[in-house]
Amino acid sequence: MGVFGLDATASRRSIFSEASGGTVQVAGVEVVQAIQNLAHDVRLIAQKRTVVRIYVKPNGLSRNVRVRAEIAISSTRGGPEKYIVSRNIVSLRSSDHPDLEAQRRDEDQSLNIELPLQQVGALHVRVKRIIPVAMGDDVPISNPDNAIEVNFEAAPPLRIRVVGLRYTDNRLNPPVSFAPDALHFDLLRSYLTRTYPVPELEWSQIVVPIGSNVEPPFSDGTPNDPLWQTLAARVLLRLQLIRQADVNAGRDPRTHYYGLIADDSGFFRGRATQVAASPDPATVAMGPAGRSGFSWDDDGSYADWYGAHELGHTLGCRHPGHCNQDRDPLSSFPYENGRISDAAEGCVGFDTGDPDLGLPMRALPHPDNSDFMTYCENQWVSRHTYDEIFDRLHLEDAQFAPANV
Amino acid sequence: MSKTCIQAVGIFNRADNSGQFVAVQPAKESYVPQQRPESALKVSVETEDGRRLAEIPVTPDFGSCDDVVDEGTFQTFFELPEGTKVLRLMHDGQELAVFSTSPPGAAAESFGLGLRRGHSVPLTQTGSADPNATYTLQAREKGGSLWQTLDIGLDRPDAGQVDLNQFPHADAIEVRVLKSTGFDTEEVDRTEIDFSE
Repeated sequence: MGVFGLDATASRRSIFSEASGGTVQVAGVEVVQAIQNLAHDVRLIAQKRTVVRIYVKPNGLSRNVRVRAEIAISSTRGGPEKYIVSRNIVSLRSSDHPDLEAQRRDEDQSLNIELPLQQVGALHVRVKRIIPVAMGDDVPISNPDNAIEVNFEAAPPLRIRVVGLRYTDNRLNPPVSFAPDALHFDLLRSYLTRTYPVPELEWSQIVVPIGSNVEPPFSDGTPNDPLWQTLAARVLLRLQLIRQADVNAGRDPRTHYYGLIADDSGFFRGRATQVAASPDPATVAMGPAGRSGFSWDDDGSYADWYGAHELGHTLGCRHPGHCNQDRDPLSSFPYENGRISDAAEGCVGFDTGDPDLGLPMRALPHPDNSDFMTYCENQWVSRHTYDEIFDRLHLEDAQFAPANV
Repeated sequence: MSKTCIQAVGIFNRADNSGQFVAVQPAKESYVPQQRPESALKVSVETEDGRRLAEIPVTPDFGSCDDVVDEGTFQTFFELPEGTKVLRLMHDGQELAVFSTSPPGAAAESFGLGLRRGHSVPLTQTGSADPNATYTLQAREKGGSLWQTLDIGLDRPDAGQVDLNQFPHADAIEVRVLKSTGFDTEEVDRTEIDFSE
């Protein structure tokens, strides 16, 4: 018996029906890992962190209602279902509810549900319930037959060893040694996990001396910068030698090596030995690490997107040619201004975030975000680069598998 | 008998067509291409008396990021023909640099462990060094399978330092030094560091 003899269930029903009424239409369901469109043209990677975004259109509500969504997922149509509730709450507005595209552009306007890691194969997703947070019944779904089917495919991991290169600044009295802070390793690892089309990273890291023939300053300030050229060449060769010594000792020959250099004594501009035109995990790269001065980059380090760019070169990604960048003549990058998509393709980027580092989920609309192979601001991954890296990692995985695999 | 593969790396400057070998070391699990693009830069593989056993076209790398780079790098992998003693870096028929190997010297390499300074343990001299060789310092968690390279290209077996912080989960580590003459590598000494002591 409820309070004062009222039936609690009946009470909730009446409050919803009297105050709200109306229905909700499921306007779209998008299963996203880094970037996606409503047609699900971007491949989904098995065992990669995945979010289902639900877009709704309320009809006939008499007042705003704050709701969660519950989805049913199954690997076969009509098979056993698992129910999962959205992690966020959205207010269904009785008037002027944001339209579909406005919801896609704003992570707080979609109902976001994180999936358990998925196996290779099909996944059926159906929005089952729209649940008011306060009292009352579910908001009826006007199109309950809203199921979509997506497919998850296998992808190899990115095997990467990040080598922090410790140097000594002999210009200081007494001389001081610098190595990248742990934060830069962590944020690079997280960014690669979030933006690359991989289920996971096979990650390892170490800090070693940069070599006796490399010390600050790292640039002579001239346009051609012969000092930087010489020092960069020395660092890259050292990485190649360390990599081969490690491979000789049993490390997987598909492992990419990336050198990380703290910017305490000045910015050491990054470089890969080459844009690897064909699969070649022996191509190495290096780049600086420090706190970002860009207002759009507020996570505490630029080593993350900078590293994604340089490693992209080792995986065959070329410069699209935007924001004071020369276009690589062999680039096939398709989007104007270096953006991550265009209106025709209709992709929206989505950062699934990283709770361990306090990074929230974020929607990344294509007009405001640029591919990390450009020199533009607000860097994320485009579908084009996502596909390029996916294809290259598959080729490397097969072509360079160690003899005992 | 399996063939030895070699990694040769170096510098090539296209402004003045100068170049040099930086290091040569044996390479396991390396990818040796069956076909290589033609290049003016080549490594001539020769016997001690100058007989050419192979000629390897080498494509220098000039970076990735809009750089107007003259000073590039090269890295090439190839199978070492039997009898190889000399590598010549050639550009358009002009010799830029020579790498030659001698039989390993009779040095009695070894190293000791110095006093720990913070998280670093320096190696100390207890033996001699081979002037024709370079040394690589590696360590691994005791009982682990994967050696990690801590330093490379050292001119003495005792020139490196062991950074204990690179093994935060270990109770003890193994440390070893490899000696390389370019075409051969061998372990010359090994010890352990017990963190509980």
